[in-house]
Amino acid sequence: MATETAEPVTVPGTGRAASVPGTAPSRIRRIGRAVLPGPVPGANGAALYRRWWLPWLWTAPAIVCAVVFGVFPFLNTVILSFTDAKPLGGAASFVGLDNYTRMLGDSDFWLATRNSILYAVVVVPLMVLLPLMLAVLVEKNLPGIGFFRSAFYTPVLASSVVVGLSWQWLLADDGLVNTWLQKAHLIRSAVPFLSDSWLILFSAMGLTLWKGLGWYMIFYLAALGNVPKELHEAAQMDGAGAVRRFWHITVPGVRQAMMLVGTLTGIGCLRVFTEIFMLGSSTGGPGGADRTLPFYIRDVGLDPISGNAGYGSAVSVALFVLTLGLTLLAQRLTKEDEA
Amino acid sequence: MRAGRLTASVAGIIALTLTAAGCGLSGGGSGGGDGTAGGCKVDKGNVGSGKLTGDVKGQITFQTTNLKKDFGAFFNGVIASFEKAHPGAKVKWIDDPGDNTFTQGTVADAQACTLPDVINVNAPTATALTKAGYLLNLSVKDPQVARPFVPSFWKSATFQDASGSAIHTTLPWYTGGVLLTYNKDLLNKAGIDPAKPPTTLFGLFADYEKVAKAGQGKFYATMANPIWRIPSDFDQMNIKTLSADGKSAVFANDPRTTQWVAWMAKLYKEGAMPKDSLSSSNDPSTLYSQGKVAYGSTNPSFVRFVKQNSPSIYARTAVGQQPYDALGRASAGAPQYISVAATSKHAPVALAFAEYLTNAENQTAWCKDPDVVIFPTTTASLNDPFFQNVTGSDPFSQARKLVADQLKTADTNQTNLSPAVQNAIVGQVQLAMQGKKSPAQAVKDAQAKANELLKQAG
Amino acid sequence: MTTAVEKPRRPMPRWREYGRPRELVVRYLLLLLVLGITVGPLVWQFLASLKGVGEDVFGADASLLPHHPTLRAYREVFDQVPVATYIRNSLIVVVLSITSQLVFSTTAGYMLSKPGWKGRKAVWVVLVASMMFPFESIMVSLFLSIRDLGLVDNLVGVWLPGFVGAINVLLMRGAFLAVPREIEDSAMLDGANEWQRFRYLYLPSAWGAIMVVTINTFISAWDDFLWPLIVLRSESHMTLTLGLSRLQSSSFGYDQRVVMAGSVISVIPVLVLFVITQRWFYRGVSAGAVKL
Repeated sequence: MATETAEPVTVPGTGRAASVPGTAPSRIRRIGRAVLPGPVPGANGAALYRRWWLPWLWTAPAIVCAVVFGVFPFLNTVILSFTDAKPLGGAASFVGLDNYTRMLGDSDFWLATRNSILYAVVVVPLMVLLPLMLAVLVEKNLPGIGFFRSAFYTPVLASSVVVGLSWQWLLADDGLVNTWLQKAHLIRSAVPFLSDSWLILFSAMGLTLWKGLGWYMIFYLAALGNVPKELHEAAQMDGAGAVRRFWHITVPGVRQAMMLVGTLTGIGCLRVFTEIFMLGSSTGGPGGADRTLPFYIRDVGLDPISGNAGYGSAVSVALFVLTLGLTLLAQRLTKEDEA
Repeated sequence: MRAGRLTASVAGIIALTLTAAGCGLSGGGSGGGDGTAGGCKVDKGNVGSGKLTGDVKGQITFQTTNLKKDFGAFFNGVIASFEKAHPGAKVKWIDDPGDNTFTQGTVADAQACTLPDVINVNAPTATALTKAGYLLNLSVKDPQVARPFVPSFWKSATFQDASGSAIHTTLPWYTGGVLLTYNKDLLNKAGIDPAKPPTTLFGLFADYEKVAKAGQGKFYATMANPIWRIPSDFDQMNIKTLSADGKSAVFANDPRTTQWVAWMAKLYKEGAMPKDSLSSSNDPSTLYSQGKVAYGSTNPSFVRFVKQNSPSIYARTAVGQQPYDALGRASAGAPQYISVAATSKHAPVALAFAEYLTNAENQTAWCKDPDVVIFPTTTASLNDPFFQNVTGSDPFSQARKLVADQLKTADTNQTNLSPAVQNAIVGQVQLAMQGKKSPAQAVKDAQAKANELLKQAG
Repeated sequence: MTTAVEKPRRPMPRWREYGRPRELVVRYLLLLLVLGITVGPLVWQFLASLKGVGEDVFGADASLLPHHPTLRAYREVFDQVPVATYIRNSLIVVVLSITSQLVFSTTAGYMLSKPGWKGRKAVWVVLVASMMFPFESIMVSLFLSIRDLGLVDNLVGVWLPGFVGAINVLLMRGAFLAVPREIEDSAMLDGANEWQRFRYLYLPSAWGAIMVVTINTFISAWDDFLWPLIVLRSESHMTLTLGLSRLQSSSFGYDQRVVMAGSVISVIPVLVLFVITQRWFYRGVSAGAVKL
């Protein structure tokens, strides 16, 4: 059973790092560089390692893992994208840029691209903010808060089979949501959550948010400890309400965690497959209108009978470029915002 | 500044890739003097013409798809008696948990040249593996192999190799059968005589329409997703879905396809199917068990499911013969096959075990298992009194009798569509059902999309 | 989960010490609302798994509470599949993953947070890029590597591609970057070497991030389905998620209650672990020592 966190709120924090006085703003700025490669603040000159191989030794396992199980397989994909390889072996020949020119003229590819981008554009801002609000809600040590914190994390643990079944049960025409809406006289006929292609897409987004809420709440809880409590107290004295304090103190304080969550969610959104499959079945919604890029890769590239691994690889490369591009764009935008 | 460096790094990676691409293409090809199958090096005897020779000695792997949980004792028994009859032969049984159209593990194994020696495959997997050359051509490797099977079954149990010619790469194993299952009460309410099932699909659709009128949204006839009906309905109506070589779609050339889509659109609009089942992966089982859908799944095992899960609905359930329509005979349902991998290191053992597993004696024994409603594919098994003298009037016994009758003439003539092509066709029909396209347009577009996929597959 | 409210171990503080009454009421109402949204489906699944044969699981008529609660479905799960073997295998993968992820993501993250060596940006680019490859496109190559290493049908093959994840390295890097420079400078003056600074200075101040890495690793190792499906063959090697998927054989019809029960069984160990660890985890948070 959930046990209460050890320190009641009345005991002020005495963490190791916090006990070292560093002025709050500079600390926040430092956190602000957390995921970006960049000059590390306070780098006191070029303290080059005397033994040049030392840093490589420490990072070697991570590099090897990323290269052997990520970069190399993906290079193989890039190679395949210039061929007409089939998913199940056989001879492949070099076809130049054919797969890429086909892709540019393929309306289903563009539909999938639109869905993937839309998914990211809608979900990322919500996924950056909602878990943060939730983290603020459970940050304070109230009686029973341990139970709530654990409970909010449970959607992450539910198996996708069960999630699919329960969401279908929620969203069906005679499901819970429609029944409640009808009882409240908000609607007359059922909202077609599971048969309208737009609503399927938005329902899938809801599912993604639901699954990610508790997950990212944890990230934020870890980051909220960085927001100086004195700032909140001072603002409260000045009469700032909860909403104002959230926007003016909490949000700037966890800015870097927000960027991290935004980046991770963005990458995740561009990879969405399961949610669409659960709510729109194997066709990806009526007429395949809800297919995302990974869904499309499965259809055109991985099908063992009619798939074309070459074309599927080209779409994979496009997905990678899109992911990279959007990540860079987001970082650029937030930087300008900062300036 | 930073972005500049990043761009440079990315450019570096791309350059590296292109270099690697050059190497990859020039360095391909496999050496060695033995035969090849699906890009793998294999024993010469496994490919080409000529009977398979060699001792039945060595260890093989036998893979089923999710059967261990229910039938562990049966298969262990078969394996033990095979090993006893063939000293020196050993069989290792593995059971893949997947039950999707394709088990990803099987596909990955094929690519890695590590397929199990004897594999239980369904029609789509057999189609894919035959096309890529991963399976032994059984009628060449053992000219006697056809003997035990029902002739109509054996004749139709072929798959196309890369050149498009039909070859026997599978042994028919068991089949589920196809029939109509329905809720008598709901049919009576709609004014349909449960004792006289229609003989055509459009006749069945007309009955669905009656159910829609009687149900008024309280109950339905069936589920909307056309994925349950494509291509089996086309096959039953004798509409050709694909050309003879399987390389292009031709269903749009038959005017009855458009009529069929128009019927589906009309039924959906009139409420014969729940609106939210248009692109749902749920088959009728759940709603049928709640008495909300009049027609259940066409799989005879479904009757057992209803009996276990909702006894009250089981009491109202009856079964009827499937509409034979233009085909004039029954379809065999989703048949399961046994294949031998061309990459097998002990092909003689594998072939011997495959034939042993599918022989009349073992088939009959398994079909008598009280936990299954499956049907054998050998003549001797079908002649067994167990299938011939079905007694009892409960739906379960009735189902068994009906399917046993069908199987004497049934064949496995189903069109084998790849999941992607099937989804492409289904998707367009869904659009017609939503009223976003005319049936004629949807059929035309479906054919174009299917052709695009078939073309890219070469 | 019967007691929604728990008492702290310390001498009971007065309620008003937690805040104004109106604010407290609003807070708890919000907490309960989110609770309903997040655990609703899981509770539904648990209740459904207790339903007897003949009770509706789905649909408007299906009641939430089972009329004839029974543990039949759980017995079925244990009868049909070797749950204990599956759990053991999952634990092996989880322990291997957590160990390697913690060791290597902290060391790599630490070095990446340090200035003064050439190539760290290139390493960063490789790591970030490796997070962006769609798994669908690298799955097959990955399997071929595992085959060449002779690790098919081996739990090591399941673990290996995830022995250290780029996301965790970046998380740790961020946490180390946030450690105030001044502490390190003073430690350097004290003559602490690289390892000592890492071990006694940086690791303790990155407690929260370490917990996040642990939890994330646990969940992804526990939950992964597709990759174990491709690598594993024998039943005696299957992990829990993979093994329990057998309960869902659609070819002969399956009992949804049993599937639900299987799912509950797979969630419980994770839930227990989380309830235990969240205590340590949030201790770090409340102390304000956590950097991300």
